[in-house]
Amino acid sequence: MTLKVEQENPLVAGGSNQSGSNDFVKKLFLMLQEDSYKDVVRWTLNGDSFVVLNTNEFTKEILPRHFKHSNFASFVRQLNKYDFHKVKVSNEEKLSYPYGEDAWEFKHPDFKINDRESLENIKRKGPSVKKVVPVGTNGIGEVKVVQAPTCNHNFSQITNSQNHMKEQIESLKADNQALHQELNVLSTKYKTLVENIVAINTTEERNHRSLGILINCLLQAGIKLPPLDFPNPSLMTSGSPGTSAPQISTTNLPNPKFHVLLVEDDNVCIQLCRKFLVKYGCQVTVVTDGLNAISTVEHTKYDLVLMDIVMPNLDGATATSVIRSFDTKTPIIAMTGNIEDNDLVTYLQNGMSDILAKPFTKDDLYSILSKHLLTEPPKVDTDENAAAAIGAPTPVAPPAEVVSTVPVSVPVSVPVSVPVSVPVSVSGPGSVPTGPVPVPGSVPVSGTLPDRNGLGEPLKKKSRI
Amino acid sequence: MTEEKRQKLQDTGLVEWSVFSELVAMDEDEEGFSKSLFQSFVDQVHDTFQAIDENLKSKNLDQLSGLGHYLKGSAAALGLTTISSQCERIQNYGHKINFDNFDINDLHKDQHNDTNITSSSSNTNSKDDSIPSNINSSSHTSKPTTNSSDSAISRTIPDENSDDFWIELIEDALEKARDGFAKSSAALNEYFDNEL
Repeated sequence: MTLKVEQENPLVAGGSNQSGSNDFVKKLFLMLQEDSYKDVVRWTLNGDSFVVLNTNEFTKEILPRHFKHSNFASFVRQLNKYDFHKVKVSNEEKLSYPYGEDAWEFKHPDFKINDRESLENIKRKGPSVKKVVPVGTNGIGEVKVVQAPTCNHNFSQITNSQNHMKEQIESLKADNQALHQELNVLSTKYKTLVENIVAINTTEERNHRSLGILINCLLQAGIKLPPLDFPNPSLMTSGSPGTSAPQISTTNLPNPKFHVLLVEDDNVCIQLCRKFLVKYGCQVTVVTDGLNAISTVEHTKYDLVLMDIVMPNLDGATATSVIRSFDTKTPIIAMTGNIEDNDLVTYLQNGMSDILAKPFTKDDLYSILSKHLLTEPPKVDTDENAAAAIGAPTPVAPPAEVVSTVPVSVPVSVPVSVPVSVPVSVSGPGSVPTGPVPVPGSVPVSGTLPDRNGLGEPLKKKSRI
Repeated sequence: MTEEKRQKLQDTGLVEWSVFSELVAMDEDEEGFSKSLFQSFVDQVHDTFQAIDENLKSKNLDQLSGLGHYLKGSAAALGLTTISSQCERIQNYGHKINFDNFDINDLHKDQHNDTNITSSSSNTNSKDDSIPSNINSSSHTSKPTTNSSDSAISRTIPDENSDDFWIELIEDALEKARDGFAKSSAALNEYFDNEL
């Protein structure tokens, strides 16, 4: 747009220039047509050029009268500006040249005797242009010539702004890089922080468990205890409504084919999904937020993790990326209602193995389970399970009574029955679930039960589920 | 007898039948499973609606979105599409996304000229009908003057940049979700022998 305007401007300028300057050519033309000074200046015989026969007379008589020029040289310059050229006469030609040795002959293709119309084609050249415009393309040539300085100007402007932009891009690049680095630093810090929180959580839980055991022992030994403010850390998480349900629970099956961790905060979804899983033949452990998911996966091996995304405390995507820093093998399936492409890419980048769109049917779930569970031989993990499950609480269980229960569980080949049967001997009063009733605690092992029971916090879960 | 009940519930069109029949099939191994599922859903709805009410007062859009998402998941899992679709609206409006291009002007019209949405709900609660005749055409023809005065009285419509705009949309979605829940739970209660 602007360029067009700038192109047009020289044209206009040239036009106005032309009308004014053309007066010079017209004056010259009229003077020659009148033929009143034929001894001084006149048309040549062909009529396509004119000749100044006597430069002295021309300068003295004609220039002051008709033109503003004070000397002949200035007149010639003016002619040159209108693209008139002196006709060169070679030495041989000079002999037969009719106008004498001192004659100056000037020629312009459009300056002819009796041809007034062609005069309009004669235009003044632009200032400071030395280049000779090719004859014949005069009109266009002039426009180009007039444009040239503007172009030059534009060009330098463009170059300037380009340089400016380059600088800006460079500084943006630098900024971007700095931000990237900062982001990396922050995400590393964030991950470390989350890991630390998880670690603290785990330690808290262990301490809680040990203290619970201690309290139990003291109670059994008949020592009266003052009332203690001793909440379970895993129950202290704040969350959406409905999460008053226990944070961690495990459904036990007599002969589970697989052990699945279900990470989900929605009570209805938990019940439904757990039902489907149990029907499929899975032992199901349920946790209701990302932090608990991390600590649970940390000390128990699962065949598969079903991970909700939007959860209190820590979202499923972040939890997965933290889990992936120590466990790259366990399939983690994202369960989500957000199935837009961007989200899916993010989930996969976070280390999710697959995605199960919510709401899902039983068949949707089963096809995902088959895909990820049936590819590897399912049998080995039960032993690992036992080892992992036993491994976790041992350092925290110094009291003799409890320690003694641990070896008992080892010879049992099916570890599933252990968490149900063992606590009975340890915990005193309180409700002890039997059969396929969910057992609280992140690890399906004896240590989890006594603390809750010992604190006089009877499990209200039964009514919930 | 159960067949009859089933047919009756299916005819209401309030539950996604493929989902519901799958849930009921689970009762084969565990009697009362589907009932307990709906029981906990009813509890959850009451809690969540209450939380939404509180957050509407404090205009906490982020919380509202989270609550919408939360209830959407369980409603969808149980095949209660009328509820889950309204919860989806709450979730999106809480993030200031007008994903269904809902026109707030319709809302303001609805408030004054009892139209299809509220009139459909009037089947269950007909006591709050201020306009005697519920049929659209008759209300329009009989009261042309009130229409013009209505528009003069009506509050200024908040624009999309203000939180009030989204609060108002969420209020609308919540109202419709409540309505959907009232109808669904009534139908389900009949199916589950009033044990929800």
